[in-house]
Order: sequence, then C-alpha cells, then structure tokens
Amino acid sequence: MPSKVVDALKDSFKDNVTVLSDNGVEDVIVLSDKKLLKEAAKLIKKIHDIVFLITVVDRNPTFEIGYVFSNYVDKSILNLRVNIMQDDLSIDSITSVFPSADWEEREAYDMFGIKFNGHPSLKRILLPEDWPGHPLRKDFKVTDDVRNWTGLDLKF
Amino acid sequence: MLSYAYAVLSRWLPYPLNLIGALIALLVASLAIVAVIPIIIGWVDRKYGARIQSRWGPTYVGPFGLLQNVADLIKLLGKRVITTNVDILSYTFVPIALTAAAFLMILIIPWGGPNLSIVNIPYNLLFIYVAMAVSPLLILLAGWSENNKYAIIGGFRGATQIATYELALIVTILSVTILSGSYNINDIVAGQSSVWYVVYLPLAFILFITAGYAVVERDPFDIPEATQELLAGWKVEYSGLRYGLFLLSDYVKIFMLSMLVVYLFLGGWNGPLLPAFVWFWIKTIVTMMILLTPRWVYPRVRIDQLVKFGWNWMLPLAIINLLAVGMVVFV
Amino acid sequence: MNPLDNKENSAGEFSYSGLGDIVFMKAEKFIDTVLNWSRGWSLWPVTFGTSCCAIEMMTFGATKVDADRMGVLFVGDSPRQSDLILVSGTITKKMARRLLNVYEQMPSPKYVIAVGACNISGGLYHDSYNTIAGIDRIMPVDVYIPGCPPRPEQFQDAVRVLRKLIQQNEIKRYAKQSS
Repeated sequence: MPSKVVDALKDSFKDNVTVLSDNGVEDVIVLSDKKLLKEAAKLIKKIHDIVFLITVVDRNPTFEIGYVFSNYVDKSILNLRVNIMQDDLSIDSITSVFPSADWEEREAYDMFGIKFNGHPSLKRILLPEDWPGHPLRKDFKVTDDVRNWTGLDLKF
Repeated sequence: MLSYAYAVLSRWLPYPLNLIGALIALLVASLAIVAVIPIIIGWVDRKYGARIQSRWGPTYVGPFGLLQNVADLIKLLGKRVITTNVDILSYTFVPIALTAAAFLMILIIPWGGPNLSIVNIPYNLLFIYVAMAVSPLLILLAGWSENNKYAIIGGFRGATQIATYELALIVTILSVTILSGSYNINDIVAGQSSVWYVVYLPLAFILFITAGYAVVERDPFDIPEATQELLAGWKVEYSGLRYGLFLLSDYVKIFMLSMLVVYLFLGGWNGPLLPAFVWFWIKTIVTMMILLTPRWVYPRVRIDQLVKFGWNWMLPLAIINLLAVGMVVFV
Repeated sequence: MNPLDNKENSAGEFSYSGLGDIVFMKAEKFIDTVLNWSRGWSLWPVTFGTSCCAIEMMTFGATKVDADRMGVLFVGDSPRQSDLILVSGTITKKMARRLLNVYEQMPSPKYVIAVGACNISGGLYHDSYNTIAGIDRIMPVDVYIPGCPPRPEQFQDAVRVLRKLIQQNEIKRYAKQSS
C-alpha cells in the first residue's frame, strides 16, 4: 500500500526512486543517488518523526545502507535503501534532520567504516577508539593479532 | 580517675614521677576503651543487623565471630595508602582530629557512676557537645582536601546536615539543663533520682534522638556517605588506617549518643535494688540496641527532605520546648 | 612500612650474623602471620559485575549464602577501601581499561577473583574480536571460579581458597609492587 511519503518521494525524485515490493506489505524504496539522501530525509521528516534503525549489509563490492523511519502517530514504517560503492565509503549524515540517527551512524562507522559527512562527532561507539579495522566487513578476518589485541600498556 | 591514680601512686613515688605515672595510666585506660569499645559495638552492630536480615553475620573469626572487627582493623593497619592529588596536610589532619574529638568525649563522660570519669570537669555536658560540634568543619575540610567530586559533595552535605541538626541538639540540651540547673552530668542524673526527665520532656527526648542520629550520621540519616549515590561520600579517598580511624570514631559516637540519652533522659545510674553501675549499663545497652535498629529497617531520606525537616520542624519544636520548660521552671 | 617489603629486600642475603637479626626475623615472621591472618579474614570486595555472573554475586552477599560470615563485607565503598575485586562477567576490550583503572586504584594488598567462563578463557566469546579471552591476560588473578554462571556456593569456596592462600603466605607479588 503506497503511502503519502512514497508518492511525494516519487514526485520529487522521479526516476531516482524505485519501489521494491518484497512481501507486498511494506515497500522498500531504493534511492539510486546517494547525494539525494539529505533532501529525501527532509521530505520524509514531514511525515515520519524518527529513524530508529540504520542497517548496513556488505554485498561485496557494494554496501547497502538501510534506513527505517517511523512515526509516533500511526506507527507506519518506511524503508529507505541506498547503495554505495566500496571504493567511496561516504554518505551524507542525516543527524541534522533526524537527531536519533546519531548513535546509529556511529555504530555503522564503527563496524563498517562508512564515513558520514557532517556528523557532529563521528567516533567509535562500541569498540575502543584506537582499534584497528572494522570488524563486520567481509574482508575482515579474526586472526590471533585481533584476538590478543588489548590496546593496553601492560606493566606486569 | 586521674586524681585516684595520682593519689595511689603518691604513696610510693616522689612528685614528678607520680604525675607522669598517673598520666600513663590514664593514657592506657583511655586507649583500651577507645580500642575495645568500637570493636565490641561493631561486632554487635554487624551481628544484630545480620539477624534482622535473617543472616548469621560474622561467624568463623573467633568465638561467635567476635574477632571479626579485630581482623578488619589489623588489615586496615597493613594496607597501603594511595594519595593522588590530595592536599596532604588537611587529608592527614582530619582523621586524627575526628578521632581526637571522640577520644575527648571518652575522657570526659562518666562511665556509670558519680565521678567515675577519667577526667572530672564541672561542665562536662558542654564539653561533650563541643567535641561533637567540631565535626562539620572537619568533614568539609576532608571533602575539600581529597580533590574528588564525590568527596566534596559528601563534605558539603555532611556540613549542611550536621550544622542544621546540631542547632536543634543544643537547644534540646538547653531545655534539660534549665530543668536541672546544671551543665554537669552528675547533677543532671542526681536531679532524676525520683522522676526521669523523659516523663517531663517527652518531646525533647524524641528531638534529641532524631537530632543525635543526624549528627552521628547513622542510617537513615547517613546522607553524606550515601553508598549508592556517592560511593563513600567524604570518606571516598581514604584508605588504610585513616579509614579505620573513621570507623572507630563512628562507633564511639553512636555509643556516646546512647550514653547521653541515658544520662539526660533515662535517669542515668538511678534505679532500685541493683547497684548503680549495673543499672547504668543495662540502660545503655538497651538504648544502644534500639538506636542501632533503624539502620537495618528504614531507607535513607533525601538531603533536601532532611534539611527542610530540620529547619521547618526540629528547630521550631526545640525552641517551643525550651520556652515551655523555661516558663514552667521560672514562673 | 610494609613487612613484606623487608622480606623482599633481604631475600638475597640470608645471613645469621647476630642475635639481632634472628630476633628481627622472628618478629617479622610474627607480624607476617598476624597480618596475613587478618587479611584472610577480612576481604572487602569491590564488585565489578558486567553481566549475568553479577546476579550470582548478589546472591553471594544475600541471606542464604551469607558472605558476611567469612568477613566478606560488601561495604559498597570505593576501591580505596577494598582488598578484593570480584570480576564477574564478560570483559570487552573497551571495558578492559576501566577494569584496570579500578584495579590500579585499590591499595596494595589486593586480590583478584575471576568469576565465570568468560573471565577465565573468554567462554562463549573466546573467538570474538571484541572480548578479552581471559582476564589473566591483562591482570594477575588469584582464584578462578568456573561455571556459566557459577553458583553462589562456589563464590564461598573461592573465598575460602583465597583465604588459605593468603594465610599460607602464597601470594607474594605485592612485595614487588609496593617498592
């Protein structure tokens, strides 16, 4: 069931937007150009209040970022998906539009190394700040170096 | 007790030696009291609290766990002292001064009989009050010297609380002294030979116990060292022997409070049949057990509630009580 | 100050040159014995609970398995007043620094009990990129409690074992640190 937001998105972004109907219940909107993300977020903000989930999937060589928006009124859900290439892992931050995206974007940066341009403080959230590498990428291997890394200057 | 020791030693020793000997005897006696009383009261406190919570409390160290607090104190003696960023002079001064204040109370208070104190002075009730009243300044100094946010918050809380409640405490003590006409504990007890003052002054009795709780920082008024909010409050940076000195002075204070309650309101060593000494200790121990109970039963109050209660209710009630006593006595 | 200090310093040169030395050594041994006795019977823990083992640790202090019987008093105070750190729960690499920070703030005769599989070897997460596979990689551990999570009685047993180790003077690493 296409909602008002989907129509509005289609109107303003024309053929940059495609709608996938995976299961027939919830539509997944794919945004083809990552530069349009911030505009799309501003449009979505008129209807939806929060982004409560940001997912990243490493489909080598593309990274698929999924945003899940929702609102407090009718609890409807909007899925937005953006594909970015591995050699340019950066995307606009939507923290200025949706403040709840702050920690989600930090987590995505922590686990996948995606740079969010314009994020207020883009640092690691779960791992220590001097941790080498981004562990949820496909090319990351858990070696002995990783297992034994403590980052501590041990005295004994 | 000092004059007695002096008189006994004068039989054998010439002038300067007998005085020195008497002072040494005094020192040994008071040190023994200072060391033994907190250990016994600490054991009673832990065991009694454990039984209230249907636990067993210290069991394995010595008979019935009696040596538990001995072990604690020896352990604290052997611990390293870590000091980072502290003002070392005031940091070291506070535990010594607080313990000295507790020591002073032990020297002055009568131990269950007329003139049975280590040092006899006429205004001993006033002196004991002064020894109690010195603590807010020291607590603030401790909180400041430790250079720690928990410590300074605890120090301010402690100073506020004790300053609030000491005022109510001294006004309540004044009503007793007006009734008896003396600042000497011996005279106050002698005045209660027929009727205990708790009958005349029930309100003052309740006010005295409440304010005394706040002054000695027992639960439910242990806000300066509220464990869940402030770790240990103004004690947070203290370790080793200095922390042990705080524990000692805490237990001495709660014991002094129960003795004062007995002296001021419950007739001191007066009582039928049994000797005076026995009566006094029975009363003190029963009072102390009652005073130890609320810690294990009631939750802690908030600092704003406590201060508000102190200024809005405790002090006005104490002043009304004082005025009423004054009217009855003088008119 | 600390009698253990002297022991460490004089360990290399064992000489019975005079009566004074013998008296001194006897006194030292006596002080050691008394101190170790009291240390063993008065272990105040700082509770470092990060996950499910901490629930069992609470039970250890509560009514049924009463830690207070053996002198383990949960004062709940700062690390400055504690002797024992009960590390219970998974230690991630970010948490390891906080753990060491707490450990280094405890004054010197201090003991460590590692609680549960995660602390001994990493447990379920032994192959993870984000956990310390056993806290003995980052700090000295005196007693291990196995189990996932262990029962409260095992805490009791660990304290008993630790007390025996202390009272037999088996734990000597603090002599080096305090110098």
